[in-house]
Amino acid sequence: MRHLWLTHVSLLACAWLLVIAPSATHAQVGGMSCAECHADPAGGGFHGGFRPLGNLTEDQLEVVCLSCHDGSYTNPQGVRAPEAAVHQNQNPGQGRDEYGDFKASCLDCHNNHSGLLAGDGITSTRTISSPPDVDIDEAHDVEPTTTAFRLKEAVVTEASIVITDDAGTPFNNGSDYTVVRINGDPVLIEIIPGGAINNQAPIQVFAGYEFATNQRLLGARVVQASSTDGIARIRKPIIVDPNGDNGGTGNQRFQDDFQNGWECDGKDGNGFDIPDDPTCIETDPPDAGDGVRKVAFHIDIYTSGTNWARTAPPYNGACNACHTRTGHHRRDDSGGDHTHNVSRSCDDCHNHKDGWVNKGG
Amino acid sequence: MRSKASSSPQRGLALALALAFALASMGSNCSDDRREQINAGESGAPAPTIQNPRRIAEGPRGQLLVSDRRGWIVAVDKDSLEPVWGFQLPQEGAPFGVATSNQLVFVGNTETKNVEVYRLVGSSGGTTTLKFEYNLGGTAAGATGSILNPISIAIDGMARLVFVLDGDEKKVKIFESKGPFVNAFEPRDSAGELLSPVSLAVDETRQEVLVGDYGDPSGSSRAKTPARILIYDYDGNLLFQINGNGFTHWSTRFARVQGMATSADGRIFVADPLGSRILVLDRVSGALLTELGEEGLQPGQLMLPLDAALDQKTGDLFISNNQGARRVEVLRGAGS
Repeated sequence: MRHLWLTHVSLLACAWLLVIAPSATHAQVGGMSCAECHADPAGGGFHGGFRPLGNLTEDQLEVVCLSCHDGSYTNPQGVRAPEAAVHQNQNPGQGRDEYGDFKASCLDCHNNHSGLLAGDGITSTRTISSPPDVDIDEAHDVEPTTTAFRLKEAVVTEASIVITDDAGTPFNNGSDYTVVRINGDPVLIEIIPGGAINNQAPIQVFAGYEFATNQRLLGARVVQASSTDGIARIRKPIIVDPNGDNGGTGNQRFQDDFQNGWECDGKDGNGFDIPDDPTCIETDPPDAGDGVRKVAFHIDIYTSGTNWARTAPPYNGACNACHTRTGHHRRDDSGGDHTHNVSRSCDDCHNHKDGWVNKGG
Repeated sequence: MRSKASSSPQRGLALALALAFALASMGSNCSDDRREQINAGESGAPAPTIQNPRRIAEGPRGQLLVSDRRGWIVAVDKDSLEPVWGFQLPQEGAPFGVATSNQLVFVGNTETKNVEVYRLVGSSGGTTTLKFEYNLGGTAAGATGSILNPISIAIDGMARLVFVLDGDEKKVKIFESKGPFVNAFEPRDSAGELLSPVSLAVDETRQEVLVGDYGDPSGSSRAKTPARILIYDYDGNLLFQINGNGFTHWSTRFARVQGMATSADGRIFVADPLGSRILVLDRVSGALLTELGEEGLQPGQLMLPLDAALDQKTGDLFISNNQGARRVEVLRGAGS
């Protein structure tokens, strides 16, 4: 029954996106329908096999994206799907040991339900992102332990699951979240956060367990690694209405509702802030170049700037989100190691087709 | 119905023009030996690896050739599945389609927009040597050719014809293996629609061209059209059409279709990238005969397979597995 309910919710959400979303949605720009991503290849087609992608692993989600973005597909309208490769560190001879198995998957930088996904060098796009599932600051010092919601060698029952707020106060099973599935080895646990969880952040899940591979929760996902404290933190479902404004009006509508759960405002005071969004992590200190910077980025046609690295506050370009603290971070201010090709755009040397690997040596 | 390409009335003129163009532009480039070739394990040379495999083809000496997005053609031993030697295209090279015939290696380079032809000129001391010969269509080395996006290549070795799917122009372009252009056709379906061709294979036995097409599942400008396999004769006449799931039924069970291989008994082996498996279909009825492979990240499992090659002698089916283990996988005897 739960699966059926989820399917209905997902279908409604999909229909909502197609009917209400502005003209810049991925579906409409690419001439795509829900079925192109959501048809279950093993389950009987669109009508009989709608597949909520929140069930998929990162690798499976990448397959959904790359099955069109592998460089071979040009749609019937003559638009070639931009070729892309996953930004990861596993390629022999190309990676950096200190990042371990780091990977930024498609949805770490793209919101598949938002407007135009960012193309190389395109600035008039709406790109929503979140921090990747790894503490990038830690990654520079030690190889990060991985995070996930698959638990190793754990006996997990619904009653044993404890979800708390950041202060350790537990939420209520039923009113604040719903357990969808517990199965597998390692144990896969899926929940739907709701109720009070939606307005609380961050959320702790299963503190003290060892997390294995990356695994997205249904309608939620990891936003912070457990590498430092053994705690995974999740974000809200894709489609919610946290402000209770029934979608709001105008641009605000899809800013805070369609993309909520995936959206982090730039916290730049230019509007569209969602103060209660647990996924929006303030910089520390805000908009500065120093300190821990688990920044999310939010680029759209209203805030301008480049998609990749912004050289002026609030420094919330896509690349800034992770590379602020690296030796390969574009910043115009002085000091530290923030001097890497400061006069150039990231995609002068790195491109999506090659997984952002440095081609310049 | 199954006339050879040579019967095309346009072929003579096209061939003559293409040949003249080819001869005019090839002359100074045939000796261009600019490509570097590197052997696995060779002293001082990095061992070739497969990191982003795309298409796969029968190669020389019991090997397979794999196109790798990073600019390499990598030869893989059929038994060990390990890289044997590699061949790096120029810095801007991005190979997609790949095929071989009679010591010639045809590489679809999506950066230079050419099908570049190399000759295997020998092997000694563990070193395999390749020499650039010409571009299909006769363009000069490094120049933009008449093929904009060569995403899939297949060869009829008996007829000495090379079939190239140009993803940008959405045309199947046919060349003589020596380079001259022969013919081209648009892979339209039974309704006359030209949609989203992504892959190509040739059935030498029946002299048929198979085109994998993503269709138009959006229905944005027409009725929703599922992915399909379109089968033509060498003149571009549509013979059969195998539709995918169609969104309302699931008889053939594919929502995407990438590289294909055919067997002499009429089976089609289709790489289903979205389902991470290989589907075996009957070429006439389109019926799903079986599904092969298992989704997963480990060696032996599939994740985004992009092509398949069948060893007609052994029945071994080789698969270019783009994600997961990112290597060549094999299903021994699957095509027997």
